[in-house]
Amino acid sequence: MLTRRIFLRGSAMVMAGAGSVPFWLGRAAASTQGRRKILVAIFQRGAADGLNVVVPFGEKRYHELRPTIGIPAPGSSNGAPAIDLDGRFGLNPALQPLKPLWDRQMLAIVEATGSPDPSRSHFDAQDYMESGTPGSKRDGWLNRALPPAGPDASPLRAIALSATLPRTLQGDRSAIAVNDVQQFRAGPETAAIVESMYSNSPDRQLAGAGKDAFAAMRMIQSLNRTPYEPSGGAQYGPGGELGRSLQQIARLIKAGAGVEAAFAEIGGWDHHQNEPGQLSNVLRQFGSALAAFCADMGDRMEDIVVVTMSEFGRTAQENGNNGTDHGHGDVMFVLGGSVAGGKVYGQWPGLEQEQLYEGRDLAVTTDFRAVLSELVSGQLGTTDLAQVFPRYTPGNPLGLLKSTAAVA
Amino acid sequence: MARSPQQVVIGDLREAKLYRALYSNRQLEEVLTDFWFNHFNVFEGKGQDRALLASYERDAIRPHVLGKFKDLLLATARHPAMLYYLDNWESMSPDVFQIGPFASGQSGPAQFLARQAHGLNENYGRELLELHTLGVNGGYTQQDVIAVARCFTGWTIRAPNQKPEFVFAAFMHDTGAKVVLGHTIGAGGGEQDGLAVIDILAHHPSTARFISTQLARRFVADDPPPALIERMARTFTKTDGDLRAVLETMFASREFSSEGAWQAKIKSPLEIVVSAARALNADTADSFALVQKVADMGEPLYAKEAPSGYRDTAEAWLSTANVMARIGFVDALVHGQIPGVKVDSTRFAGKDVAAVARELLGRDPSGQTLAAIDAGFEGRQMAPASIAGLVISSPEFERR
Repeated sequence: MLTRRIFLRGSAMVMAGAGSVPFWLGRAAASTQGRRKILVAIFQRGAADGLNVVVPFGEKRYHELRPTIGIPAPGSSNGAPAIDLDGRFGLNPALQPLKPLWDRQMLAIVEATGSPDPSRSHFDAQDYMESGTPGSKRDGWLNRALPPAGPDASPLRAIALSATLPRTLQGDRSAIAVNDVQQFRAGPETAAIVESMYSNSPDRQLAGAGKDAFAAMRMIQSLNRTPYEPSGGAQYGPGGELGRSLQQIARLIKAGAGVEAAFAEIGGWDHHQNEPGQLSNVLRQFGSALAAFCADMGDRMEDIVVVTMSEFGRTAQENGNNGTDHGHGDVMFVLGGSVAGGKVYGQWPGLEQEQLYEGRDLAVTTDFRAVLSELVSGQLGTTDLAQVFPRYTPGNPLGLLKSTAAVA
Repeated sequence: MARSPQQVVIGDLREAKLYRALYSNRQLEEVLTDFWFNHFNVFEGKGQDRALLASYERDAIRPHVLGKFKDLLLATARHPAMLYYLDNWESMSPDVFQIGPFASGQSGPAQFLARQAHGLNENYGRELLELHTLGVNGGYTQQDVIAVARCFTGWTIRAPNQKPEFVFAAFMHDTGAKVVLGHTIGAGGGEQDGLAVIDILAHHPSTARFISTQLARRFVADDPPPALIERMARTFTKTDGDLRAVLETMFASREFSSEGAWQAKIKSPLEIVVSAARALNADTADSFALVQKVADMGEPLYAKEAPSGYRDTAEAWLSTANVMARIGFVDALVHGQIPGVKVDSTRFAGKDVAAVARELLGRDPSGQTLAAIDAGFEGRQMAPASIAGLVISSPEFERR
């Protein structure tokens, strides 16, 4: 009987977990000895102001459009200046933690990226980007990008650090969302019975939701029995919520939990007013979290690529309240040991009136799917990109990875 | 840790929401207040909103949930909580710097304000169209967003840090003519411009359809039947947006009592917590811990940062994190481990699993649920509290 079998399996795992390393974890770890490649996607919800994240300080027009909130050029004695990257672009000073990664050529920046869809609605634009299908909403690009699960696929192969499964990871492949795994306190007997109720439920929607939850839950509980000590002097604390999420991802990867794709998010980018202080705060968290993750992962970063995105950028001109309104083109970061970093990618469209999208926003010259396509094939090995990004034909690769740089 | 006065105010509001959901005799009003607050969502973390949300819910939302949509819309538009949240209080005509107290060469308080606020802010204008009235496909353009924002310039807050209340500040207003959704709003309208926009939006056919869709999504199904939406929208238009009449059309409809609507919705975390406590006849003397449980499941009350509020569809609440938090909550609840909440399971003593399940679910449990519980205990004696907890953790209890 299925019911009984599942219950017994649950009990066995609980007993195994009490002392030694449970066998399923050993199996998952064994299957990853080949140093699986991993793609981590980070969503900046709320429309990050790309022009103040990576500052085009070489453009006179930038300073004219943003007399109050503009970031001074490097070397300026007037307030906190941008950190020079290549003589044209500079990092917001709050992103100081990322500068060493740029210097080590682990960090690539793609300018003027975004969606061909004109929406300035946060919610539509997030859905379109997470779907990977501008103008229409469906399941998530990262789910479709996963190869079919092999017999030894881990229940944690696709994981989101959030209370609900984000659209990016929704779809046919099993993917789970967890936030604070410490919250789970019910006894093993209860958990096993509830698992059985869900697995066998005639309610298809709920049976589906329960299907992957329980195996993942046991695995995480077991990992949690040993306290986690980040390595490489990594300090996740200043990274706030995103830092906590990346720490959990790091912990799972280092435990050999079989992670292939991970998703984390950071909110608080919708700065319609009083932008400078708020943007500094959120960028400090963003930069610290990414830097801590890299330090913690150490050499393992050779196998990992992190990509960041936001639903759209913001108006080139500051608004009436020391803020910016909803815009269009934005900036993406690509981070990892295999990244051909230390370079700003993409064609810069300029900030003159006639160069701006609809006369007000940074234009999009690189489709966000161009960036993601390259990473999906490089990291997950998925070559059928038409299935991941339907109705989209990628052009020549940008050369974001060392492996694709030769071709580009 | 000492709490600030603002934290005490928002904490009381959260606890009161739980008490009302558990014990109020006016459950429809509670559900509608929750629905409309979420529709006109305001985040506690913005500006002074932590201290203002009690008033926002009590004065702007609750009195209108069975009244006219236009009154509700206007009440939210003028409330300081919304004026802060979507930044309208700082939005002003860029011309302010050429004339009047902001013109260069002047000094004084106006110059102080001018350093913070010196032009138009589109935030409220856009969300008013997209989320509050027409819906994202309701037929508006970027030009409409800008025109609406210009109409609302000057709708601001008197004494923001002392006694926040609505005021129309003529000096901030953009006095030029505007065109909103094809309607010309003549120059010099002052405060009337914003009222004219409210009027246009409240009577727009897209608003009738969007509001009807949202209500039907709350009460009927994630994808409500189009025919039902059409009938509700007709009532909305015919009755000048009378929300009581729109609800009557919905409640009296075939679709509302149809098989397709039966148990069609997945409960939100708030609904899980409240329905579990109520099914168990829990005696809640202190709702503080229950508030925390709702947050643990992904729905921190009054704390959704995005203006869209929480999603009202199944995928919002179906995740590993949610299932884990829910099982942990129910286990703690039935075993009396939630401070302030007493559960007496002795009424289940001596009853078999099927009887307990029927009592808690209000219907027969599935054979699979019964079999899972029976197999799990393998014939051993089961504590009544454990049986109750398992029934409440079942897939059946997750639907409404």
